[in-house]
Amino acid sequence: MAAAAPQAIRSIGRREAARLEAVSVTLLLLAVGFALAMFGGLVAGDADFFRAHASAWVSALLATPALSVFVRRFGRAPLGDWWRLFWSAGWVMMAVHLWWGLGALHQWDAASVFQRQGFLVAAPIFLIQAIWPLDVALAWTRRDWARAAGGYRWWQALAGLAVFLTFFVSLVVFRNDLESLVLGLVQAAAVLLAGLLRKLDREGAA
Amino acid sequence: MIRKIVNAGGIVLALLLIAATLGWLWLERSWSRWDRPEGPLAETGYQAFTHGAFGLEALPVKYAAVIDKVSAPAFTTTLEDGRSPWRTYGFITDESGKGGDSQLCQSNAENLLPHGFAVTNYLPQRAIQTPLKFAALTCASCHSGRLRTAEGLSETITGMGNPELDVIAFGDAVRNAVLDPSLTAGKIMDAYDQACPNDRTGFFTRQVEKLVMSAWLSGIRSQTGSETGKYGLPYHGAQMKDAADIPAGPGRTRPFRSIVRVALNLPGEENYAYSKIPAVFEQRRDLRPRAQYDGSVRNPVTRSFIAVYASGASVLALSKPEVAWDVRTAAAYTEELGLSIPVPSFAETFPKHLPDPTQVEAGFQVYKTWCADCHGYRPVGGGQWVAEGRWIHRFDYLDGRGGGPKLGVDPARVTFRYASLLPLSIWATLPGSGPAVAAQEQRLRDAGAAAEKAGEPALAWFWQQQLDGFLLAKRQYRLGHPLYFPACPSGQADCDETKLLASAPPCSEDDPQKCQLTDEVAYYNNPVPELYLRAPFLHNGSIPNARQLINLEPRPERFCRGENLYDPDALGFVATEPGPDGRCDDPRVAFLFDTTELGNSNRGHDFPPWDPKTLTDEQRSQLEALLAYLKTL
Ligand code: HEC
Ligand code: HEC
Repeated sequence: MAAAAPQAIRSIGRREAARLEAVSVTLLLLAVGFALAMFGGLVAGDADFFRAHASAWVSALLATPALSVFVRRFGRAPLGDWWRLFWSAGWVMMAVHLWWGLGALHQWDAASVFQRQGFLVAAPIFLIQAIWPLDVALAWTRRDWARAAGGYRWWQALAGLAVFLTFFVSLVVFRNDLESLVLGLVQAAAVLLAGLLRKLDREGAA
Repeated sequence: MIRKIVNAGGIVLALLLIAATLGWLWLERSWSRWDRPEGPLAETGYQAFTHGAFGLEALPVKYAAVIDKVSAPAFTTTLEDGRSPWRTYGFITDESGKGGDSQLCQSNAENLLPHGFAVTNYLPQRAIQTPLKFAALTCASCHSGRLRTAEGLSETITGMGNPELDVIAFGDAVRNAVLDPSLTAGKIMDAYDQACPNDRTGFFTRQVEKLVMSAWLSGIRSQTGSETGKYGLPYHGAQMKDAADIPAGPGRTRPFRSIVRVALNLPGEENYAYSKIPAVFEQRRDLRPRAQYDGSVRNPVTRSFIAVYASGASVLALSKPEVAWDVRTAAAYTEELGLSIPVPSFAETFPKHLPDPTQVEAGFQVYKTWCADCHGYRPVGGGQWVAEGRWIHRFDYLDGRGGGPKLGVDPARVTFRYASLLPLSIWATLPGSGPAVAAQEQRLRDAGAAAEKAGEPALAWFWQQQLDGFLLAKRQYRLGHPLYFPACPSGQADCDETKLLASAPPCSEDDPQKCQLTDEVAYYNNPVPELYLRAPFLHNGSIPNARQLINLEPRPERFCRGENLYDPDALGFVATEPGPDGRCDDPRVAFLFDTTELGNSNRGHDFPPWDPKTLTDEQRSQLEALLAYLKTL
């Protein structure tokens, strides 16, 4: 009995430490990605253009671990800190992308994005600018974020799918440059791998 | 425990990095703050023309302050003869001796840099704004000047071409200086601190400046270095004033060589289109529907865009709101300069040399006979230029097509290789929006297909390259480049941009007059207001004064150029004669202008077609009268 309490504390302590680690790793990656995207603009030919693109690339990179965890665990196991942190960091960079892409390149003229890119490309981009932050907000406010059920569960699936598809379409299908294509393929491969692992998990369990 | 500390440290580090990045972005916003100037065009226009940002940043101000200390070998020509390097290149410096030897520093740069230099904080090419200040060329560096007479120096006259400016030599000096492997940001900053010990730049700003200067230096060095294949090594020392090396010389540039290099990425070595820096008065479209000596440009904003683009401004820099505004405003200024914005007349500049009124009256009749058909006229006694005449605002084709008197001036300005590629390339340099951008893409594709069909595969490849560049630019300027053309004037609802596209290259209008950009093998008949400020005459500046232009005196075959004296009676420059050895030995007038060289011919424009050596007395008195009238233009 006497030994149990310290052990429980120790296990809480370990959980705390693991969480701290997740926070520090994601935050560091976010900070480095953000800094590279912004300062890289100073070296690139066109600062605004580079920043708009690089912030989207960093967003895709940060979303990749989150999407992988999501695909592997969704409905099976709690999504966990890593998912929530990377998912949030990815969105932060998406907001940065909005700032440069819409703010600097399009001077906050949303209609011109539709004009320029066509409805099929522009609409999903604006849609995830709404869906993603909402999903992140829910993940930080709802108690059942890690094991969603009912409508919330559908919502989470929808949000994950929407973000993934948007990245896939703009990075791989439209592949404006090599960087985009490579990143898009890496993300798709990671998600595919997670799907495979998920299948293996099930077979292993069975 | 250790893990915890490491993680906590990681979090702190990440937060610091994020804060630093945000802090930088916030500073960037403060560095790039710009308020659109308000006020009458005479002021805002002058401001833009002489102090505007045009993407022509040449050197950091702190470097400009010490070029004679850290980069003397690159900037000295050995022909200074006691003059400052700036003045040796023909920039307009204070020669009064008053502020003479005060040291240029960042704090007094607006006053002590030569006239026509702006102080901006744009990094060249990339147009990022930082605290590092740059000395930048403006329209006024080229299009302002002074007249040196036996009696002294005139006021600076905005709008005339600077007849002394050796801008190509200056460009070579800069290229030479930045290639110097031993030049570092630290060396510049140290020299600057010694020269300007009272500079009050704060510690943080200083560090940023040093960093930016270092980045600028390595960037421009690698760019300049990578372009030596196209531009060759820069000239230095006395070569800078030697026509064998830099054949443009004072008061002239080679804008079409530059534009061939910049817009087409092709070499310009065989381009002999030497352009005198022209006067830019009275550019209003009713008086001057087309600009440049060959009438190749219609829209005034496009004129000033091409001017700065040819001078080295990047498309990116030109897209910045401040720069685009300056380009537009400077253009508007040249439209009114000489009309609602006054320019000193000959009589005001030379009150002691007023022409005799009866002579002027008689001269007007001679002018009407021989000149007005092509140039229009100004009524005796003043008033606005009358742009009427049989041939005015017409192309004077070299092959005589279209009729009219034969001009016969040097052809090189309009016959250079690749001229026919320019209109479409220049047009597609600035991606438009809406229908324009689609048309640009389509016409580049069509040009490629046409070249293929005509059996010119290399040309098809060229258009392919242009298309690739265009597709990238189109993504960069999603809303259209702010200076693209032809665009509907803002607020004009009934204007349909699709209709304007017929005038864009390749122009499908039946009359080249309606085209935005042309490559006619012709010179264009335009008014010549403020004639006394246009010497040396013709597009290549091959005729020093008006007496020689109108064949009252023989035109000199060879003469020396530099700080030539202005002779109000001859209405133009004194053609300093070369020495007995055929060389220009006076270091201040060191450039030998040889009219027998390619591109330099002083032949043609023989109106009236009389031989100056066999003039009758009657002819002579007619020409004297004409000269008197020309002084009133
Ligand atoms: C590096 C020197 C240089 C600079 C800087 C420069 N120009 Fe020019 N400009 C020239 C030369 C040279 C020509 C003659 C081109 C030709 O051969 O037709 C010219 C031509 C022009 C013309 C046509 C004049 C005519 O009579 O047809 C206008 C207008 C003009 N410039 C305006 C401007 C404005 C406005 C600016 C600033 C935005 C500017 N320029 C900057 C050198 C310069
Ligand atoms: C056939 C038409 C024509 C006639 C007639 C004509 N000019 Fe010209 N003139 C031109 C053209 C075209 C140019 C530009 C050629 C060039 O720069 O090489 C020019 C250039 C000039 C220039 C130089 C402008 C400058 O900026 O360098 C002056 C001055 C001038 N003409 C005055 C006259 C006078 C005076 C007469 C009458 C004696 C006259 N012209 C007759 C067509 C004509």
